[in-house]
Amino acid sequence: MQFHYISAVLFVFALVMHLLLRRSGRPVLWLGSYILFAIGFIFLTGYLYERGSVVRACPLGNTFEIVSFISWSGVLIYLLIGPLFRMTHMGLFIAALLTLCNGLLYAFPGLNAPYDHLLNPSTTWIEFHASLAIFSYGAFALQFLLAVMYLLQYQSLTAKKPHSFFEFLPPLLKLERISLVILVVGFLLLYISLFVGSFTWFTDQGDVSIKKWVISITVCLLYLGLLVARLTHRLIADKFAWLSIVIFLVAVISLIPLSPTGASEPAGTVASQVSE
Amino acid sequence: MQDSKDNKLELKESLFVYSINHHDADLEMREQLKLAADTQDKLKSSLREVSGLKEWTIIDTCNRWELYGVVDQEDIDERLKPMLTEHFSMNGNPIDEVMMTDNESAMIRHLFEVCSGLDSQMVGETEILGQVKSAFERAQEDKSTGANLNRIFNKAFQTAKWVRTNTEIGKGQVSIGNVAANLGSRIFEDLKECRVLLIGSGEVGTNTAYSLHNRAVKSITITSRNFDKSRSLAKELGAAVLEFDQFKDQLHDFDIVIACTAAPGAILDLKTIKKVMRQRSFKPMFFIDLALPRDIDPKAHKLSQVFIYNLDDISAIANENLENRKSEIQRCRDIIASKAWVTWLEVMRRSRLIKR
Repeated sequence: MQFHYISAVLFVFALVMHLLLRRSGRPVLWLGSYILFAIGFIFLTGYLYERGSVVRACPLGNTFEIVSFISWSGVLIYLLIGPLFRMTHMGLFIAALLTLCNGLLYAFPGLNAPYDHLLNPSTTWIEFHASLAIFSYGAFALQFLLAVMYLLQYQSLTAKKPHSFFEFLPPLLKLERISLVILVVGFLLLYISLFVGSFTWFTDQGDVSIKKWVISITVCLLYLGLLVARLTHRLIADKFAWLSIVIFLVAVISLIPLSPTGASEPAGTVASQVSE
Repeated sequence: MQDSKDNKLELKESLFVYSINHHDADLEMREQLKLAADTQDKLKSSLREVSGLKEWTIIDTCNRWELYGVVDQEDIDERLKPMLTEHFSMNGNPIDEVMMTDNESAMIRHLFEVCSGLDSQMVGETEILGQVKSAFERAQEDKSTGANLNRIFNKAFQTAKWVRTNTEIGKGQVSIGNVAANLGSRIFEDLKECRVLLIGSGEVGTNTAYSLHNRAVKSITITSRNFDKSRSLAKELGAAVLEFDQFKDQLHDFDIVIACTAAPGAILDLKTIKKVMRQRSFKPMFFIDLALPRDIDPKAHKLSQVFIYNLDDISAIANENLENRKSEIQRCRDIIASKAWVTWLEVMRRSRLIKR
């Protein structure tokens, strides 16, 4: 857990740095922000590795782990695309979201309820399926943040009150372009994950509940619809951003009944010992 | 030091200013005023017949209509105000915003502040000085000015230059062009690659096009009813020219549209803009409407991806950093007040000498 705490502190530090620099009107150093996220990412990787070693699987056993894994995925994608798009100010939004998530995780210890991974032993393919699916959620989380940034910029321009706080946000067209790229990345990851999952299901049908199927297919179809609508220009600008936000929230909420602890499955002792 | 009322009694000729400006009249009212102002030849004829009105100059811009004058009779307001309110009446209703200042040094101070950009909608802007100079030249051509107004206006131009050079009133983002360019860069990824259309060849629009040109915008196209004027302006900007009757067919090719025609109504209505947005697959479009009356139907702002900013909107943004310049504005006002007082004393002294 120490690794998680350190990463959380680093993300808070990144948030404070962004806010203070914005307040003082000084430019945020891209490299400074990047390094903070990179170190935070390393510690978060350390935490997930530690948990993975204990449960001998991808650590996705409770809400705490799922959120941590999504955070890890989001930061990784940001670290990869950050230099490509020079999205320095996106760091502020990522840091804010991570701080909020970590705050909630620490405030509600029940979210880190112990579980027994031995009750649901899984194959390598299932692990691969699960980690890809959650990794795609990291991409969707970034797309969600881009949608929020888009709406802030769009609202300030349409309300004709371009407050200086929003002045630093990237231009609308840039936000929309990056959002589409990340949506495609997330979509591909999700569909590869679905393909892998389906493959496993065909070989061992009994292990996948109908509830899981319905939720997975619904989320996939929602993102497919969003992508098609955007590529065919049927959904653009603020409507695209709003729908991106709604679909992401639906996707995140849908994870709750899918997680072992969310589904009220019995908790075990091994994980409990480690968590403590 | 005597107060101005006492001074006025000593002076045979007194100074006054009638003003309707952005402080009291909103954009819609100013649109109506502009239409009335376009027929001001009739008003000028009427002013020539007013007894006691010795000198006068009219300043007519998008944001103000002002009449500066010198009279040698005291009841001038009783004769002039009904004439002006009738001229500017909207649908038969007189305009109450026609305000007169007959405090002599206050009239001079007001003119100084106008010329220095202190009374402008975008405080510190410089375009007003050129507009006042043009108005004064027209008045001189009409032979409606005399020794007093010549002196006062020349002093006003000197003061404006002094303020511009010796204070920091113009520091920061105060030109329409700068604001428009900044807004554009918040919509489009690369302003340089944007295609800009300038409709009309008015001064404010042209200056905005220059600002965008200075920001390395590569593609600027100009269209106006006066094709020759468009062509000469295009030559200066390295821009293309488009026939005025063809611009609507090609509107969808442009990302930024600067409209500043003298048309009496909107030249781009909601239906046209809807059609254009469909043609460009709803890619964002930025309209800068600097015309008065407005060239672009304001209802189009409700359309998705359509951003319309008019004079008032851009001025409001430019004045966002006004707070930072408040102390400088007060310093300028103090300097101008003392310069106006000295000018007023000079005019008074000169008037007395003439009388003697």
